[in-house]
Amino acid sequence: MQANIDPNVFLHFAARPLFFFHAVAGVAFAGISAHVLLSATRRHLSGQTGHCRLERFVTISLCVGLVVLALGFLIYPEYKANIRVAFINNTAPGVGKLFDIKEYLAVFTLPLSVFLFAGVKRFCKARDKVFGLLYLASLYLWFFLIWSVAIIGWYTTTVKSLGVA
Amino acid sequence: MEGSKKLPAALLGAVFFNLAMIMVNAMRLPVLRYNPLDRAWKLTAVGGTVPMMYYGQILWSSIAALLASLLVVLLPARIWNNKAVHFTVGWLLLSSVLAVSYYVHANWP
Repeated sequence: MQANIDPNVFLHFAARPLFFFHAVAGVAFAGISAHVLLSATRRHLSGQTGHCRLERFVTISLCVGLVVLALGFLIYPEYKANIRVAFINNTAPGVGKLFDIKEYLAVFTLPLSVFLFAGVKRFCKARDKVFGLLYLASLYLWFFLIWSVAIIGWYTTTVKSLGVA
Repeated sequence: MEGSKKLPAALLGAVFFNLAMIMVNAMRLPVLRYNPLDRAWKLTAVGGTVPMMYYGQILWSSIAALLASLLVVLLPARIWNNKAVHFTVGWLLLSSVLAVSYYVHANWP
């Protein structure tokens, strides 16, 4: 496998630290999403209308989500050339397909993150009950996508992580 | 942007992002593809196993999202009553489920 590694691929030299920070940010994103989900559910069920700390965490989750995506974009050429083409397509094509699903699930968290950020003030005011339910439904879908990405990403990493020595 | 238009702009942008992600793939539209081995970009509808269409798909969809958000800015704020917002959140949920289902089906091992 080592013979197929192309050292000239974009950011090949920085692949390991980029991948490490991508994983760290991903774990943080999953953790924050769980916190946001639980806080919003509790707030909705208790009918609270006062001070809303959710706003801060939704903003943080949007920022962390963007960092995870950006780091993922940066290491994607390394994955594609030195892992997917050099190794996975020949030995574990099913895992490669699973990875593609993960990539698309990850990108579909972005529009939901933007909506959750833009709508959090309205949700916190709790005047519009229908909006509150729709916001929660979006939040649960967002959480499901993030955790699916985390679990699939973790699994595919156990097959082969990076093509660097 | 006016406060009353921030949420509708984000919502419509998000809906159009999801729909554009489906359309770009389903209609085989030309997208920017990056070949990491040749280190070259190409705008094309067809590609092999190496060129990556992921960036190009996201680029087209982001442009669609920005245009949709711009449309909200141009439209009068009064049309964004509660019902319109609820309807658009419903569309966001539907388009998210459709987009996820489409790509899971298209890439199923």
